[in-house]
Amino acid sequence: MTNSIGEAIERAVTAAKMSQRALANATEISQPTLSRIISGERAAKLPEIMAIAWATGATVAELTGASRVSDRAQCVARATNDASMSHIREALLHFLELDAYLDDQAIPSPA
Amino acid sequence: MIAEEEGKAAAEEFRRRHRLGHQPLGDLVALIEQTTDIDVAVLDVARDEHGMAMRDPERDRVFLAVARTPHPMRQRSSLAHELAHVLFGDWNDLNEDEWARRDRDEIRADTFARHLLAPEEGLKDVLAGRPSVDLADLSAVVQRFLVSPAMASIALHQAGLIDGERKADWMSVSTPALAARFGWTDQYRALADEANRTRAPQRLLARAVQGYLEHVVSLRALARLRGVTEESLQADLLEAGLVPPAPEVRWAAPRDIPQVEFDLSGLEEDAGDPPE
Repeated sequence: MTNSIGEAIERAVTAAKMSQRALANATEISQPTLSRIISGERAAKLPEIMAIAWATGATVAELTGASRVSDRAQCVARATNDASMSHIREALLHFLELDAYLDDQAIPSPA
Repeated sequence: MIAEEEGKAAAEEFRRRHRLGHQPLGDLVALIEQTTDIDVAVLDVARDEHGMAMRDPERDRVFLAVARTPHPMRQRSSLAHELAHVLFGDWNDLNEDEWARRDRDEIRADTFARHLLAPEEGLKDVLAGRPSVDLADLSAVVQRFLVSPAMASIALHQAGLIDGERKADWMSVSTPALAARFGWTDQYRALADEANRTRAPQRLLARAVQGYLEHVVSLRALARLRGVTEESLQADLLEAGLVPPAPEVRWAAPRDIPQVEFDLSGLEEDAGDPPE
């Protein structure tokens, strides 16, 4: 579980086009600590996860795997040459996660 | 019903329902967002990833994404193709290893795309009164309906406007070549530039901006959604006067709670006294 959080953080950092150093600056979590969290050597505390989510633009649910969106989501795709579709798939999953988060925060859809 | 007929009927129904007549469709992203509940994005993705639609069945939300590309006609056909899959409900499980290729669904989606983008009646209107259809007419159809020469040739052939031989000849013509030959290269470049730009899903972005103003969405989250840097996004927001109000909670983080000096010596004295 811990390591899957580390992997999720790594994906969020990549998606935000940030370096680990920039994340350390933004979250005020030291770079060695971040690196141990990402490698799974140290469990992340909730305030740290929240800070990382805020700094990377991911949702807490995405980082902790608490969301079930990825389990239930369905898709249909158009690719050629056996493209893995991993980029487009991750981007769309993020949209659904953010949308679910905005529901939770009671942010209305614009009219 | 065979796949072709289903695709054609659905495209005609879509045009009827949304009162699109037989006119060429302009900005397809905005059209889909405005006529359906689907939120559409244009993304910077890996090569050969053309398009995908994803659905959360529990919350009944659908997002559709296509790749940013300098090929505007291909992008439009991907958008229309994915729209068909959503309308027909051709959903697969997300975690399937292979992207299931169900031929019937693919043929149906391709047919839908062709009839949506280049409807038979629309072609006949444009080419009314022509004794025969030549390459300049193909160019006019491609430029007007914004479809590839291949798609235009198939549509013209199906509408009975060209024979099989001409269709076969024109299938391999490229759009830039037609544009260069018939003088609309500048328009083609403008279309290519537009298709090659990322676009955030509009409804989600609008909601996220609202969330930003209410302090539940970070600037980084907005920047990620738009695919821009935080600095340029902040400049955009400032210019638009979109600045979150100062938060009402003054001590949001534990480290911000001020140190308060207090004296407990009186308490000890009180504790020593027997209750009255």
